[in-house]
Amino acid sequence: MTLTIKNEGNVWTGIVAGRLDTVNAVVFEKEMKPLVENADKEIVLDCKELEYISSSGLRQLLTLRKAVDAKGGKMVILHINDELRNIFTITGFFALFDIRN
Amino acid sequence: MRKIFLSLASKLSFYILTLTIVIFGCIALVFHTYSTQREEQQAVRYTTLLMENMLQKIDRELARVENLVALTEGAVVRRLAEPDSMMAVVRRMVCQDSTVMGGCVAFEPGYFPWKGHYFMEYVSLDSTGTVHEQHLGSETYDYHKMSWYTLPRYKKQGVWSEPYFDEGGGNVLMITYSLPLLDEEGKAFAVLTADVSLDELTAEVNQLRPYRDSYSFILSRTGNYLTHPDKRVLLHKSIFDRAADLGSEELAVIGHELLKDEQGTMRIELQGCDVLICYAPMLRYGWTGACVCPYETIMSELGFTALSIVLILLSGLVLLLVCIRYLVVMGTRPLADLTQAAYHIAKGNFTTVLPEVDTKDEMKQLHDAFAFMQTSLQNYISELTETTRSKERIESELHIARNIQMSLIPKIFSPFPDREDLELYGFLQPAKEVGGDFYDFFIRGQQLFFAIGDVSGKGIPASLVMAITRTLFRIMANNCESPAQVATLLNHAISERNDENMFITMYMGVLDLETGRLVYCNAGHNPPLLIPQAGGCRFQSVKPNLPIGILDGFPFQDQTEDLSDGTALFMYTDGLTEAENVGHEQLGEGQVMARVDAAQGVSVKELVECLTQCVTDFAGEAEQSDDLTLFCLRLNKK
Repeated sequence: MTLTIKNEGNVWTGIVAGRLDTVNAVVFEKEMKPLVENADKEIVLDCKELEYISSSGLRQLLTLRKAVDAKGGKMVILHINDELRNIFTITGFFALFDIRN
Repeated sequence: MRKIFLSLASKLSFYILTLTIVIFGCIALVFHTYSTQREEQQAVRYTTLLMENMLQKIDRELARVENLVALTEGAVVRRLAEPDSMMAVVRRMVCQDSTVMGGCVAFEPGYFPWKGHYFMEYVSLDSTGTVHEQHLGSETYDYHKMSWYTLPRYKKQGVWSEPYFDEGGGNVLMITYSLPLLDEEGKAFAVLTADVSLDELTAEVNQLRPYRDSYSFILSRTGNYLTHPDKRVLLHKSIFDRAADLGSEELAVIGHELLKDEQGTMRIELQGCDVLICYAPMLRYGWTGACVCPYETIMSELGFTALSIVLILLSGLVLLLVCIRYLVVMGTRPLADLTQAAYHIAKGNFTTVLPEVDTKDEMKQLHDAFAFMQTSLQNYISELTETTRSKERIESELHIARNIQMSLIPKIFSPFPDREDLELYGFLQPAKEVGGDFYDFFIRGQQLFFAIGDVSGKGIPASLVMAITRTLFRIMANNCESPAQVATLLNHAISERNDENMFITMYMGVLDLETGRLVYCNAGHNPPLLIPQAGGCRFQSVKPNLPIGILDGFPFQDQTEDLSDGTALFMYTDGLTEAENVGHEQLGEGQVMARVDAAQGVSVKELVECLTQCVTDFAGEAEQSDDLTLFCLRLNKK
């Protein structure tokens, strides 16, 4: 799992790649700190290269979403593949996030 | 023996000794080469000096004879008026010198007309010392034509003849000195001769033996032997005759070299023997003296010296070996002691006392490093013991926690012996000691309440949330009528203090055991499989809602489905569909459905066991990726 964070003006983009499973979720939690700190701005999670997400991974997305809600920012998830879309649908997370292509 | 040979002391000694031998060997070689050259130069100088002495001595003797003849010349001239006294003059000359074995005075043809054409007075001594006087000169012995007479006459000076055997006078090798007597006009009128035996000369020359097996000889200007220690050689007359007789080319080469009237030395192979020949000319006579020294003999002295040096070197080397071994063994003794100590420490005896090292060298450093290692090991082991102890404690606590958690899960099948129409079977296997999956069920009246849930994450944090959720479900379901009501209450309770953002996906339902009507609510959980008795399983249509614990106040909605007779409801957590193999490939819903269809007509217990086996087979060597829970129920109406 890798998380690359870019900042362009008011937009903070996190590019996630690989597998976001229980073990990697701990790493992800540390690495997404800059995004949480800037939760008052526009957060974009690009999941084009994200292969798999476990419930622990979902929990991290939830944490990020709550931070965004608390600070009044915006959060968008981009480019999730079909498998992820399935997981998001089953769990109801699809309705919880602003998911775009 | 092998061990000794491989020891550091032995190896070090061996290397040092080998190096020393090589160095000594090189020195010895240089020394030998230098000494050989020096010895040869020395031999040449020594032999040449001896030979010069010898040649001077011979020269003096021959000069004495020449003087004697010169004196006799005066007597002859004074007595020219009395030719008859000539015999007495000659006789006095012959008897005066022991080396002179004979002599004569011979006059020009008809010098004394009354004496006739020939006039020659000859005196000789035989081997017994008896004096013989003879008047010689006749047509048969025409001395006027003989070389001993004509040559000095022609040269107008004294001439030494080539050596010859005097057959009359004891068969000894002789040479003759002939002196022409000149008148006032410088014209020769007579020749005075003295015959000299070479015996004494030979004895003199033979004394020149600077080395064992060396010998000397003198050659005349034409290469004839004047002296040679071997009488047989003299019979060959000249060195070239001898070379021809022996077929020895090298001897001829030596002969030519010797007759160049030069002083010198040559090293040559002579009759299979490596010899050094020193030679010097006697210019006055045109002779050459030579001394032949076998090279081996010259160097024999050196050989002895070399042997002594080698012996001394060898004893030195032995002494060196002993010293090196002693020093190295002494120097490396701490190593052996430390090795012993290391074995003791390795056996776990950490308090082993290290050997004392008094020196301040590498041994001391090694000793200190060793002591440091020992202390570190002690600390490390005690830390490790402590860690192991606490790990064991945690493990034992985890084990207890697992037992507690497992006791929260119903395990008695069939739990309702009086309800033969209801089949139920559940299976739960945490990925770690404890996990976040659970299932539960109970009957209230004619209704079966059941639920399956999966807490986000796994391990201890998930297990805590699981325990809370399962307990809350039990309590709330007991007091509620619909699953959505339970979900809403549960969601409220969990969301209230959820700083860690844990959430639970759940599927819960209420099955009317009389009618087969199922009311269910899905909270973000995987949709269950409906498996009709006739085959052809399908996923139940579910609204996802949201997992429990995410959004307080979320309006969970119920759904209803009438289960036809013998239709099984198969619930599972994502540990089934997302089971992974070594290549991180997931089992997937398709394979699960295929496997379920294949297991047509089996009991719910067999179905659950079949899918458990399916996960095990698929995962292979891969570690279990997530908690796995399978829960299946079927109502068989009569």
